[in-house]
Amino acid sequence: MSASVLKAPPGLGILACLVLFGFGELSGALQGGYRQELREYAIAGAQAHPAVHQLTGVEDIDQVILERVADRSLARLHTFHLHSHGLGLVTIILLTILANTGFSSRTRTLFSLWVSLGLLYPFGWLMLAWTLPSLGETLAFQWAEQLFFIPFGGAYLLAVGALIVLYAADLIRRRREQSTI
Amino acid sequence: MRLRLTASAVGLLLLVGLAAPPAEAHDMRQPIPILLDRMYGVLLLLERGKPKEAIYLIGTVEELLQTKGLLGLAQTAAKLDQAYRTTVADELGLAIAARDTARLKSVIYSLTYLLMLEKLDQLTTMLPNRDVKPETRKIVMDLARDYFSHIFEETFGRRRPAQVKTLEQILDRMDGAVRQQAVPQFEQLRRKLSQTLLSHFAAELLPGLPG
Repeated sequence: MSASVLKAPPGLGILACLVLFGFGELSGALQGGYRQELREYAIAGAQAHPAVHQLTGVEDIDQVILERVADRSLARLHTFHLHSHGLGLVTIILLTILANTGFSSRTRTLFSLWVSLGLLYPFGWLMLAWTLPSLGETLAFQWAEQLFFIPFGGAYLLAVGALIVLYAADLIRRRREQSTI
Repeated sequence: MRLRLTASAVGLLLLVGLAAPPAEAHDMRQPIPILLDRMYGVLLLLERGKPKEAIYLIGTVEELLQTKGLLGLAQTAAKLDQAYRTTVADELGLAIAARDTARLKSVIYSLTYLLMLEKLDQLTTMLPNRDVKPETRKIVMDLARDYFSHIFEETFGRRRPAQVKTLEQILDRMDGAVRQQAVPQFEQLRRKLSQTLLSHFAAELLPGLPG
């Protein structure tokens, strides 16, 4: 694979990465511009579910608990911001590698789809940030895990693992072919 | 010229001295509640012989806390009076009206003690309940300790180190009892803490506080 003949990754894959970048940017802008509002939203959400957060009715104790919920909710939003950028970038690289392998067109398409599915994984952090005030950390994490982290994060990990194996096999096959010629 | 230089040097040293945190500043375990922070501010002004400024600060505390939807100093005192059958709110009013520094200090110390007691009462309810998360119990214990550290330890740490040390050791053991959910041990230590604090600081606290 030389730079002069490098093939472009599929357009739809790039678009999906750009959309994820967009969400990441949006979350960053929200954190920068509306930090206090986001905190107040998280605190109001937690106040509406006193049993979930074990609020005591004693003002200063509850104040600490609620501030902690707001901190954690914002921290998850920040993780979404970071992961959406990171994963978008890594996926563009993976799609470019895939586009330039010697795999069949069908395998490349299937792999590209498989890898692109992983782009949904960071939304688990967004969901966690959103549901933490109402569900509490444990339940919110379980939901995010079941709906996003395990299916899409897992799919992404498997795709990367499979790509490593297939790429290595393809490389060995090509070397052998070259040596027999 | 020399006089100017000396004055500048003294001014600089004073600035450095004031800006630097106290050598024995204590780490707070939880974010400091606004009320505690302002109570400490009031106490500092009283210690420096500035009762007018301290009373002004009490007024701003009321406004600040109420705009945040929280109870002010007087409302907190009234709430605690109701719970513990004390007269701290009245004492606060009288101390402000008379601009009585010693009485205001007593009110602040007594409020601190009652706020600690309030946290310890919460722990008494929480400890036997297995559903309460260890993290929640820790927050409550830390807050009780922070009230002690920020007011009593900061004020009396240098003047009466032995007495403060004794109370710190009790609080350390209470921390352990809370972690282990050891209810009888916690209750025993709680009684000991109240008795020790009330006897060591009897001169500074208002009379009739619960044990």
